[in-house]
Amino acid sequence: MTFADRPAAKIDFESWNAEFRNIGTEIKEPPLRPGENAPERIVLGTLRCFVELEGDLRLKSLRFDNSPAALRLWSFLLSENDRLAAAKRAGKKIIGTLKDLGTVPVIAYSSSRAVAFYPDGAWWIPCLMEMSEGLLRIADAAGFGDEVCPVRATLAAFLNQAHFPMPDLLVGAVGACCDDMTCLMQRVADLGIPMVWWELPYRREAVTPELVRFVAREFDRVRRALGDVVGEDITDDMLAAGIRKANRVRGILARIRDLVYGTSPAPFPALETQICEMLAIHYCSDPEQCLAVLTHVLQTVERRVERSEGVLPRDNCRVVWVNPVADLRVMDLFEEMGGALAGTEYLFRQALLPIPESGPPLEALAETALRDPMIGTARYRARLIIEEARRYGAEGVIVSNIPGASHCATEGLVIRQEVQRTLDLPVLEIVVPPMADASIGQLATRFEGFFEVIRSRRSHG
Amino acid sequence: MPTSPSTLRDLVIRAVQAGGGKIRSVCSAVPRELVEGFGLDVRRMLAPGTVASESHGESLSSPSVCAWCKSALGSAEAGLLWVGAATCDQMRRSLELAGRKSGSAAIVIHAPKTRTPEAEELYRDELVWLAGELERRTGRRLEPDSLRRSIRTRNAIRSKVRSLRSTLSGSDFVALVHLDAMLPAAEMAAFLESHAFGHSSRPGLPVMVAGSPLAPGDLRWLDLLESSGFSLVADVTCTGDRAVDFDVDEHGEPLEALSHAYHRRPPCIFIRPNDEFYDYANDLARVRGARAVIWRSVRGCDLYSLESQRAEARLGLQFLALDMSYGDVDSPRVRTRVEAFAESLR
Repeated sequence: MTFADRPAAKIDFESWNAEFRNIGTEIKEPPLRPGENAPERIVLGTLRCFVELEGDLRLKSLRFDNSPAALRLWSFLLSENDRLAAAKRAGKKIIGTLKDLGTVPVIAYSSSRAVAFYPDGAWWIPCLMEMSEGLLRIADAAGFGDEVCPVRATLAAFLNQAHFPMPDLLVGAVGACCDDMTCLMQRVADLGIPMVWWELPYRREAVTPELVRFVAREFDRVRRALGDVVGEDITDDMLAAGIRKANRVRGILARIRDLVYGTSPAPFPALETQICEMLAIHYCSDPEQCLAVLTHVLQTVERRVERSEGVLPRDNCRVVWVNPVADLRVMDLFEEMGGALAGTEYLFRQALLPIPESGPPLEALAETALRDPMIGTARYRARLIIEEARRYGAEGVIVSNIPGASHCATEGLVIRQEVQRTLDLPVLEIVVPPMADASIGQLATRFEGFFEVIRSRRSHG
Repeated sequence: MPTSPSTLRDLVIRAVQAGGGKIRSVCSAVPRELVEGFGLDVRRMLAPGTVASESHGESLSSPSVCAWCKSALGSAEAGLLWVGAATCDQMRRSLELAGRKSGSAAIVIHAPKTRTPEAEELYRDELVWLAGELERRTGRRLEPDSLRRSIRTRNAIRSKVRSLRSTLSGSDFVALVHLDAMLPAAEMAAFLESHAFGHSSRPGLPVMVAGSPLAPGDLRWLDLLESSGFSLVADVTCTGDRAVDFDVDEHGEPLEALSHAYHRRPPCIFIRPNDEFYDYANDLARVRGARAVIWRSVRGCDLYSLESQRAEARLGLQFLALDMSYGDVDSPRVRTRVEAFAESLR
C-alpha cells in the first residue's frame, strides 16, 4: 500500500507530523512542489512548521484528514500571508477586498498584475494563534469590544500590520451589509490606504434586471479603479477569461461538495471541506495553485467514494451547517459527537455559483453578486438551507451563531421557523466564540442531545 | 395660550399611547410625503423606549438585537404595516420580523450608503418601486398634485418646527419632533398653527447630542441632561435637528424632487464614507456654540457605539460616550456619569 492509498481517517497533529516523513518524494515532488508564487516555503509543509514558525498553535488541538491532499490544502491555506508578501515583493499590486465575498476578486484576478485577498479572513487568526497574537486586545482598545463579531480581528490586523501586507487598494462593499463590517470598513478607511466603496443593494426577493444593471455599473467603477492601480485597462475579454477561471474552481468545488455532503460515510472531514469552500472566495491568493489543490482533493474524495471509504462512521447524523465557525475545533467536536455534514450555508453562497459566461461580463458578475444570501431576507437564506437539506438528505440543521454578528441576532429564529415548517427537521442554535475551549463541554452536550433527537426520529420512522 | 413644556410632553405621551393609523414609516429614509400622497395616514414608527417594550421585544427576537429594535418589536407598532428602509442591518432584519409578527410583510426599500449620482438614481428607482407597491397593496393611485400638496405641507411643518428651535429647550424640541412623527400631516400643521409656544430654552453648558434615535422614553434622559446643567443646543440624532433641517423642492417633478431632497438631506452616520455626517455635525456644533458632545448609543447599536472613538476625534470637542438600554435612561450610573461630565466642563 502506498502512502496515498492509506485508508481514510482523521488523525491528530502529532500523528501527522510523524507520518510526514513517510511521504515519498514521488508525492512531495510534482504535483506537490511549490508554485511560482511561493518561493520561500514548500507548499507541502509539515503542520509542525506552521506552529513553530507562524504560531498557529490551534493546529495542535485539531484532527486532520490523513490524505496528502488534505495536508496540501492546509499548507496552502496557512501559507497565504507568505504568498501575499512574495507577490508584493515581486511588484504585484495587492488588492484588499472587503465584505462582498467572491466577486470583486474575479475582477482583480483578471489582471495578472493584481493579487486580491480578503483581510476579513483575519477573523480566524485569534483562533489559529490561540490569542497569542493579541489582536482582540488591540480591537478592544480601538473600541471594538467583545460585543462585536470576531471580524474585529481584521481591524486589529490592519492596525498592527503584522499579518498581511498593506494593500495598495481597498475595495469595500457597503449597502445591505452587516453593521459590524460596515463600521470596521469605515475605521480601516482612515488608515490612508486608497479605497473605493461600492454599493451592494438590498435584494427583495428576486434579482431584478434593474439591480443587475446598477451593480454592473458599480463594478465598472471598481474595474476602473483597479485598472488605475495596476496600470492597465481591465477589458471585457480579460474579465471573461477571469470568469472562466473562477468557474473552473467553482465547478470542482461543486463536485467536491456533492460527493462529501451527499455520501455516507463522509469521504472528507467537515473542517477540510469548509476550507475548500473558503478557497472559492479569493483562491487563497493564487488561482492556479487553488485549482491544483482542489483538483487533488477531488481526486482523493472520488477515490474514497469509489471504495466506500469514509472518515466518519456511516451512521453519523447528517446535518446542514449554517455560518462558518470562528473556532475551527468545533467542527471536529461536531464530528466526534456523531455529526456529519450534509450541506452548508457559510454566508457566501454567491461564491459557489457558476458565473454566466454569456453576455456582458460585468452584468454576469453583478447577477452573481446579487445572489449573496446576506443582502436579502432571512427567509431567502432559510430557503437556501432548505434546498441544501433536501439535496443532501439532511436530518437536521445547526445554526452556528457568530457572537456579536448583527445578522445572527435575528436570523436564527427565522431559519428555525422556516426549516421546521417546511421540512419538520430539528434545528439546533449554538454560539461559537473565537476560542471555544470554555464552551466545549456545553457544546458537546448540546450536540449529543441534538443527535439523540435525530437518532430517535430515525428509530420512529 | 402658550403650550407649556409639560403640555407638549403630555401631547407626545397621548399621541404615542393613542397610536392611530395602520401604517408606520420606519426610518427617516422613507419619505412620509410619498405615502401621504396616496391619501394614506402614515405615522413615523417610534420605538416607545420603555423597559417593558424592550423586554417584550427581546422575547420576540434575541438579547443581542439593539434596544431600539427590541422596543419597536415589543410595541403595539409591530402589529401594523411597516414601510421601511434597509438602513442598518438590525433595522432591516427587524422589518422582516415585524412582518412575520403582523402577517403583513413589511415594505422595504434600499437606502443607499454611498453618495454617488448612481446611488441617488438607485434611491429614486426605489421610491418609484415603493409607489408601485403601495398602489398594488392599497388599490390607490399616486396623483402628482396630491404628492405636491403633501410636499408643501411637510415643508411647512419642517419650516415651522425649525423656527421654534431657538425658543425651545433641547428636550422640548425632541418632544415636538416626536409629536410630528406621531400625527398625520394635517393634524400637525393645525397644531403648529393653533398653538403658541412658550420660551423653554435653558441656560447651561451648551452641548450637542448625537447617536441613536431618541425614543419618547428617552425624554427623561434629556431631562436628566438639562437638570445636570446642560443646554442641548444641537441634536444630530435622526429625531433632532436632522429631522427637519431640509426642504423638498416644490416646483420640480415631485418624485424626483423628493428623492433628491431625501438622498441629500443631512445624512445618517451609516453613509460611507461618513464625512458628510461629520461636516454637518461640526457645522451645527460651531453655529450653535456647542462646547461638548454627548454621544449616546442604545445597547447593541453598532453604527453609533463602534463609531464613538472616531466621533471624538472628528468632532474635536469634549466628549461623553454613553451606551444605554432603556432601563438606564435616568439610572444612577448614567446620572453619575452625566454629572461628572458636567463638572469636568465647568
